[in-house]
Amino acid sequence: MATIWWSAVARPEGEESLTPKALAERRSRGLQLLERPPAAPAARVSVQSTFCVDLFAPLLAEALARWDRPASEIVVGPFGQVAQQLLLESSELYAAEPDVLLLVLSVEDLLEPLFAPVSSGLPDAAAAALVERRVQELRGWLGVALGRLPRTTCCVTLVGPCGAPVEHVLGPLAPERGLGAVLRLHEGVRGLAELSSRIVVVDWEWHVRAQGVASLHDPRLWYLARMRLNPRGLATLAELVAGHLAAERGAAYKVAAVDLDGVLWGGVIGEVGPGGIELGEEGLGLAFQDFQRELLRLRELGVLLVACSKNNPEDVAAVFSEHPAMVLRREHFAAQRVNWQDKATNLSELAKELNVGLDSFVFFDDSLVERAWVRQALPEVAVAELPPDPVARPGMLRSCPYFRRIVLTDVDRGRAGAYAGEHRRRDLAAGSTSFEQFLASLDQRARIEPVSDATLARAAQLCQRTNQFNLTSKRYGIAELEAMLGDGSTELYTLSVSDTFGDSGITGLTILRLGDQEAEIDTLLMSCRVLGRRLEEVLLAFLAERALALGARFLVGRFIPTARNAQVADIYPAHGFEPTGAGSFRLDVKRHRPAAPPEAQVRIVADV
Amino acid sequence: MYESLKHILAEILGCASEEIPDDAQLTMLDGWDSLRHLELMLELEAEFDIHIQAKEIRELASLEQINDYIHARIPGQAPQDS
Repeated sequence: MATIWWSAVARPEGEESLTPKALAERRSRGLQLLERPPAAPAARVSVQSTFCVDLFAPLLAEALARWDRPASEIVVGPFGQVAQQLLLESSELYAAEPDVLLLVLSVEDLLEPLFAPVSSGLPDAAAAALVERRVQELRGWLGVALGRLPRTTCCVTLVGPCGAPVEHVLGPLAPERGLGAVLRLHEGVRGLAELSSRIVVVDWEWHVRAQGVASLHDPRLWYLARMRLNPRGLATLAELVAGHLAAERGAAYKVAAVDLDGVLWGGVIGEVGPGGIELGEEGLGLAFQDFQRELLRLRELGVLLVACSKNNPEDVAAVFSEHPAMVLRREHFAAQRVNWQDKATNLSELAKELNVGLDSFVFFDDSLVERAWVRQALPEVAVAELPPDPVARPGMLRSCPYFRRIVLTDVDRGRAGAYAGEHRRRDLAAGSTSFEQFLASLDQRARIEPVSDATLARAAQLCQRTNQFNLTSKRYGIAELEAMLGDGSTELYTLSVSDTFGDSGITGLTILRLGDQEAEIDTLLMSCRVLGRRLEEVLLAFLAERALALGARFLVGRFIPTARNAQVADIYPAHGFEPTGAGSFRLDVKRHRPAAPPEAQVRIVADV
Repeated sequence: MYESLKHILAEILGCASEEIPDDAQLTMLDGWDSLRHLELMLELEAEFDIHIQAKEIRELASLEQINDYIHARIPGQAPQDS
């Protein structure tokens, strides 16, 4: 049997096949987790479903913990009560105010008249009307829930069906088959995501294609307990939901560090020469080429590619410039280390060069020894289990869970290009005699704008990912930021920067909370890509002016130290704030406000 | 009696197997409700590599019946310890 290297629903630490034994172990770990929930931050989860999912809670608890989005509580509501729970303000759902609301719907339940064997089938028009009504209902219910639960993430999934309503009629478009209505319902549920960035749709039907639906159902459980999914199905659902919620947190990796010999092509250049490697349009050569294509696709999705190889640089350069079958070009790599140093040292240097943490790296190498060494020397780096057979690798790279996100932001789309610009910026810095001259030559434009629905996802992503220039490291998600937007006493601003080399997009965020006498800087962070360009001065000057305009006497800032943010420990005192103890600082904005850098170095557009 | 069977049931009910009496019956024993019963049946299927029909699931309502059933299905391997 072919080994599946990560189906769409498994993650590396998870078992590859859900044997009854593996299921029992997950369930038992889950029960322990529910009994002794992890300390905060952990999510309270409410599950509402159209069928019985009473065996789901331990499986979900176990999957969420493994995906690093632990739950402190999972409440499974009475099944078949979705409308009541979502519409009645007095329902248990609203009393519980969960952090995550999971709606588990089934096609058979939502389109019951279509599946009920007693009916002689619905006329096409009636089926279409039924679907339309169901989708509108769901949109309405979710709208109510989003309004009443302003901090909650709503995860929605539509399970099933096991087959078309009438399998005796084979023509896919035959109205008696009833498939059109099913497909439209799926489309309608997928479309729920457009209602709000707080809605995460788990596309069950698509994700379970590879393993097939038959193994996820058990008619005995349906007839005896109204369960539409068996434990295996519930574990699969748990895995999918946990994976989506982890991706929603934006914890994705940013860098793919690839070995060259045996990974981008077959063979060792040092032995066979640049012309002798296995790479081309046929056989294994095509598998290597497809692996390169998948890497190129990752790059388009905002993943940085770096090369890390023990080789002679001239040999590698010859392959990149001369081999006709190469898909990847030198310029696709944000950085490279081709030398005879050990790979852990090389990866550390690459991290420094890119100004990205090693915990953003995934390492791809065909050598078990190199993998073991990196795993041991740099435990924060994710080391991929590259299948030994090259033909399995393109599929593995396509479905590996490291780089997943719910949606791409504009910054993701432009990241690879932005880092290419960064290299040219460095070259320019080397040519300028003074830092001021360099900044002036960049023609920087900084734009400060209030956070809006359109920029909420990027703002949350910055909260999750920014480690170095981050004063308080508060890891807000979309739901929490959206709640702040509406609370009337909090202001959220993004910073975007552009210069002669391109637009870095939104690379900074600040959150200002208004009190009686003072305005507190709850969050102040900037992406490492734009550090060292006096943009912190832009933000602090802006915040001081804003505090004054809002009638505050003091602007208060806090520094909460982490393992990574030492570089900003002194930022407040350096800009005239006085320490008030316990990592807090304050500035009397009536007496002193930090100055913004001269316009020659940064032109500021504040759009308040 | 029925020690290994009690062990499996105790695991599902989250209690100690000593708390389960020999004459335990479905719905009479605290926690052994219809859902836990289904879990027990699935667990036994995995443990003994058998398939239990829905009708049988409904009829197997006591430790004694379950023990006899498994013993009949797989002679020699059943949890027939005393």
